[in-house]
Amino acid sequence: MLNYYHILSSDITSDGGMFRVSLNADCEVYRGHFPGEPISPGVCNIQMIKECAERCLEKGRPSKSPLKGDLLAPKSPNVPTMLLSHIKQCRLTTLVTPQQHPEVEVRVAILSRSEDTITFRGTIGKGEEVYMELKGELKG
Amino acid sequence: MLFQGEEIKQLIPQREPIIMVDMFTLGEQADEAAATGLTVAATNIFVQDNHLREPGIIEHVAQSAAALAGYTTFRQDLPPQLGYIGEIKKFHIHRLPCVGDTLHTTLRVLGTAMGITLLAAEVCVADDVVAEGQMKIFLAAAK
Amino acid sequence: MTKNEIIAKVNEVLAEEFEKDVEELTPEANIKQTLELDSLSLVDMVALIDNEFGVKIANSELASIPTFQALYDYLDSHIN
Repeated sequence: MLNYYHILSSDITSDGGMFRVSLNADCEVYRGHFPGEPISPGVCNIQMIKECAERCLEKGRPSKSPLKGDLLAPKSPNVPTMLLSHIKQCRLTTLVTPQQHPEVEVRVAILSRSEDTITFRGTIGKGEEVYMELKGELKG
Repeated sequence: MLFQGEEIKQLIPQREPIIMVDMFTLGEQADEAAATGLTVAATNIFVQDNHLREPGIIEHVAQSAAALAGYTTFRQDLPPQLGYIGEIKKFHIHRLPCVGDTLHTTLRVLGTAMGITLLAAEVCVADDVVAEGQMKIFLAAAK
Repeated sequence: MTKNEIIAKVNEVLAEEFEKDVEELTPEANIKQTLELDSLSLVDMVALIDNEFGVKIANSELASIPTFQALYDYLDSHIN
């Protein structure tokens, strides 16, 4: 588990959600990515989008309980853990750093659901700006 | 030339705790640029419930590409440049490796333009393809 | 490979990869605008041309290939 992000607030609807997220500059990952030059690893941001997408798939009423973040942390039993089975395309157009981007918005749109596959689109950005975009599939 | 364990640090700019490649060698086949490896330790930051999760697999591919770029600068006696993932596409993860598994990855360079390299990677555990796909890497200008 | 074969193949593979109608790929059309290429996706075209024709377009040559006609001419001179 990594103390990478913290969800400040969320707005989940039937077909997606918007999450205001803070990035933790003290996360240990920045010791190595990169020494003296902290840059948020693209793969951590992909995982953050995925975890927000999973929260949009929570069974029953979305929990209003404390919205922790923490990459790869245990979740509420109603939030499924899926496999990110396909990244159709993920473009990382702006470097994200916890200093320049202490607070970002993660947006998720659930595009389709079938028996065991969810297709979704997720972005990280702020306001009108988009730092990265991911189109992918989750399998249950 | 084979790089293993700590020697990898000569090729990549990443450091603990996010080192996701522990073996690098140039490819032996004509169309194969490099072969890399990673043995999944229980202490790996991307391990959850005994499995290496998706960010670990993707970062392993990214650092394999970084090592390939780093090999070029290493031969010129220069330190590895910072490199970033520009795009990931057509990337499939079939299953998650377990702690103790060794990932064997082959890289092919599909093209290079304006400082961006497009690579295809295939990640295997034993004879099983666990992940495959394409990635674009760009290198920061040398300081 | 005749020039007409090159033209047909280029149009076919580029239209498919970048999800365009082949009719949009006219000789005078600007490649970047037509295929909506940016600094990240330019390499996709270079890789595709390399894969299909075995021709590697160098960075220094990219600027001299603004249109599809220029690309057909370039490939014709490198293949034949």
